[in-house]
Amino acid sequence: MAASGRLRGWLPIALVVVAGGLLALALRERYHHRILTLVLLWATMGLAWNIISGYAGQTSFGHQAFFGIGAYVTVLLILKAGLTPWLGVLAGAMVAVAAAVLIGIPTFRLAGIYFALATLAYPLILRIVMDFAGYQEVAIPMARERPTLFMQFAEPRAYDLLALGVFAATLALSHVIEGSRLGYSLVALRENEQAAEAAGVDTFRCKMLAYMLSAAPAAIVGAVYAHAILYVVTPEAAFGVLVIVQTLVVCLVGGAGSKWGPVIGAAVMVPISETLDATIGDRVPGIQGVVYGAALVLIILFAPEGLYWRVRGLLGGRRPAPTSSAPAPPAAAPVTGGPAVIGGDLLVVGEVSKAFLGLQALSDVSFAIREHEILGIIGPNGAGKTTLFNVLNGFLVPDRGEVLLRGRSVRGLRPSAICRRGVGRTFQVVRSFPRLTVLDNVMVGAFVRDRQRERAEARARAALGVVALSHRADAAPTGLTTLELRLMELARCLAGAPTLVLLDEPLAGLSGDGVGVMIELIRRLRADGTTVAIIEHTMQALLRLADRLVVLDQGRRIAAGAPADVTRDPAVIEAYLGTRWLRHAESLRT
Amino acid sequence: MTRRIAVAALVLALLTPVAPPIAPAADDLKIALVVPLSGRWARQGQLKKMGAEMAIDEINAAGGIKALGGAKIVLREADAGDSVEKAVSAAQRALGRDKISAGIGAWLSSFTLGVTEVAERMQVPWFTLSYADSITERGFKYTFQTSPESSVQAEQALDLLVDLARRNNQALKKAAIVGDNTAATVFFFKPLREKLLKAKGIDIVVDEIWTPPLADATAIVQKLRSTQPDIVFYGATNFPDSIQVLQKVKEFGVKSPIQGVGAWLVTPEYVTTVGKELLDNIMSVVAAHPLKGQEELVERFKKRTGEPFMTQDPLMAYAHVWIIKEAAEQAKSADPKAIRDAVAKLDLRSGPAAATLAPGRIRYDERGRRIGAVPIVVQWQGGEPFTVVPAEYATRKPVWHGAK
Repeated sequence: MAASGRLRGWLPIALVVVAGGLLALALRERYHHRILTLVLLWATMGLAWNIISGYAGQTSFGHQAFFGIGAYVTVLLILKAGLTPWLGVLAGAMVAVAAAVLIGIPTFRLAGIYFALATLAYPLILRIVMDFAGYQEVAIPMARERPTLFMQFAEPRAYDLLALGVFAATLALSHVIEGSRLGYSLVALRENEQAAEAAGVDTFRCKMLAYMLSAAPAAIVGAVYAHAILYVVTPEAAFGVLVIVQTLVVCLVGGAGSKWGPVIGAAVMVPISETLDATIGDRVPGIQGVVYGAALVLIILFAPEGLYWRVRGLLGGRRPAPTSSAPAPPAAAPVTGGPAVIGGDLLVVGEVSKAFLGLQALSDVSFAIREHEILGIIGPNGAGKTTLFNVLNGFLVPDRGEVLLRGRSVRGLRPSAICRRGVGRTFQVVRSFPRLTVLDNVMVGAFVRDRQRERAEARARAALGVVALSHRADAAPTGLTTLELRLMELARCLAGAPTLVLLDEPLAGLSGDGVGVMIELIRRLRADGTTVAIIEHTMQALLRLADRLVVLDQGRRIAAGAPADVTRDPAVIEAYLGTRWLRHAESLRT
Repeated sequence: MTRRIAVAALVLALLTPVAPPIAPAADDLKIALVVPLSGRWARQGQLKKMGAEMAIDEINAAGGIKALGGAKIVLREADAGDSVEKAVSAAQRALGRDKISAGIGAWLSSFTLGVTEVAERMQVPWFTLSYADSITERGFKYTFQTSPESSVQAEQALDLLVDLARRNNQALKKAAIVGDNTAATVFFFKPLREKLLKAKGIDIVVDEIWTPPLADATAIVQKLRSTQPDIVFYGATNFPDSIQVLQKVKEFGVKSPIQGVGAWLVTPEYVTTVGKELLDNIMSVVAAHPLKGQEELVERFKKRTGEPFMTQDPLMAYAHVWIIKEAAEQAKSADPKAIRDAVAKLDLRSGPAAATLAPGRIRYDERGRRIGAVPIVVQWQGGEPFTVVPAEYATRKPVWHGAK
């Protein structure tokens, strides 16, 4: 089943490539070959951009930097060293990948529109550098003796096939990424960067990898474009704004985030543009730009998300929606056995302090989470509970103090690294990846333990089984109830096989039945050997569930111990109920 | 929804290409003109088209190409737009669609580099007025560069200036270099900066280069005022930048003579924007300008087009069409390869083509450069540009405005 599914994914790719090849052979007029070459090259450039900006959601307005690097490096190597462009292309791609690393290190610190704006700077800088270096217009020297060695074909079909090769390779790369751990990680970080990081995705590394993978094909397109289309490389043609505009047009019209988007966009827009140039543009020069702009506006009005997603939505809309009222399979039998044997300290928190400007969110908090226990962390609103979790899973670095996991410090580690060491977490407000199915959401977590897709899927399905959500595997998170969302998030956390799970108010917003389901599930987790730390501000549920309680108030640990003892602690009563109630309680006791 | 789809279908139907215009009779000789007809350089392209059309009308009215039984010349223009990609595309379209005998274009040197590559591969002779040396350094057989190349222009322009100043009892000692970093300017400045000025004992006192668009010309012009150079070499190829600099020059009262390079500095628009007085200080090196004895041609052009005067771009296109005509007469064929071979052997000493271009003779060497091509120095005088150098073709005497 899995194998045939994989084959089915490759079939349309093979069809498109074969169609391109047949077209290359069938076309007769030189100008039509040029259009085909352009379609293939712009589709490839769109695919390259799509890797970082579509899958990973990091919009790059400066992708022509890599395009231009590919063109310039290849052509200058011919000029200065007589190197064949077949090798020059590889050199160009390597330089572009190196440039991606150099650009990525400072720029990935920025997010969203700030990242997009920062990327604008790089092609501008490169343009000025090329002007300064005296490369205003570099003509590719004609190689009469060995044209094939220097990519100078008399036969236009050769350029079609060259472009087709680059296109096919990039399309295959995109397909592999879409089905890989990297692909899932990229989409997850696009949908919710913090949730991805908490689910074990090293977001910085993934973004960097995607940037490098998208720089290489862009550079190769630039080099081929210089040989097949331009013949002369100028800073304007290589690093100019037209390059990125064309790339964006192809991706936006076709639809970003899928490998088919740029392909469709290029197949539609490039022939329109060229045909306009060749017809009305020849009679009324300049009018072609206006008509092209109008066509662009129309397409964006009718399909703002891109033609691919639009068509898919129309086709998908006819399918009957999966019934959400399908009866849930009965949850696993209640655990009746006694608690697992509580072991030694798994995680030790030592005098942790964290302040936000003037607000001291945590001060000198110390406690330990023991193996196989259920530890409840309680405290009134604003006590610092979520800040504590953020310190434990690496979102925040404590100002002072240590966090030791099995005796080793995890202070300063990225959340994804802490996750890989076996600490999973859920959030007070569920953080899902809305454009992924429930199964795919959980798979993001499963990839922590298994890079291989099929095995990760098996893990994810098993995790869904544990939380009794298998029947919703193909649903979109947007259609889920609060309980189902919380179960899905828990499954995502469990798919990474954590030894310790940090649950941030798992009962919030649940109905009475829901609370029962969740409590039962937590008990089972512990019975299966997982250690659990739960934040709650309602004490009631935790008294039934927790082995021990830690109480926080105003960033300080005010009590710790068995639930029965803690509830009688005067400091706790004061924190929860105020000093008047404390006096009342004391009078009752005496 | 159906209505929306119908509207979309309608719009798409309107966008669908229409059949190309009616084909001319089979025995016509077709010339492709690939120049910018839209975008930033559209004006230059229009001027070239005017010149080419004028030559074609004259030839056709006089009975066409006699060796081909009176075949008419037909112009096939394609818009080079504002990018190398569009220019190359236009050339491929123009050359792929019809049987083209020869081509002209594409004004900007980077466009020309790309377009001539297409022509070379498709073996169609191509004529250009672009200055860049690199155009004829690639060993192409089908490219003919009628202008003197940039390096020659710089050398000769300097010689002419030094000579002009000496005859007015001034020795040039201080020079300024001011311009953008577009290719044409860069290749003009490079030899000046590297060797030519030093050889004449002239110091460079200001060297200011910018990447268009120019943000503010004040600092540059301030330097000109404080150093008082004897001559300013000037290259601001786009109109807004150039106007900015010249208006500052006027405001600051800088009196140094300005020597530009290129026909961009002799367009009618300058008269209205900076005024006749300032223009009197300005000269430019160009590849062609109406010479002594061409007054009647200029009048015909003005009457046809309503332009106030004739400059390099229409003149060069006019000459190119005539050169192609003469080559076709000698080849007795409209075949591009035959015409190319005829052009390579051509030696025109009379006729409209030879009369248009100094030194009155048209021959190309094995690289495709016009032998003996002389740069023309044009000087604004009373709001009109006149040929002032070389003396034997000059329509006015040069006036030296430098300090005595």
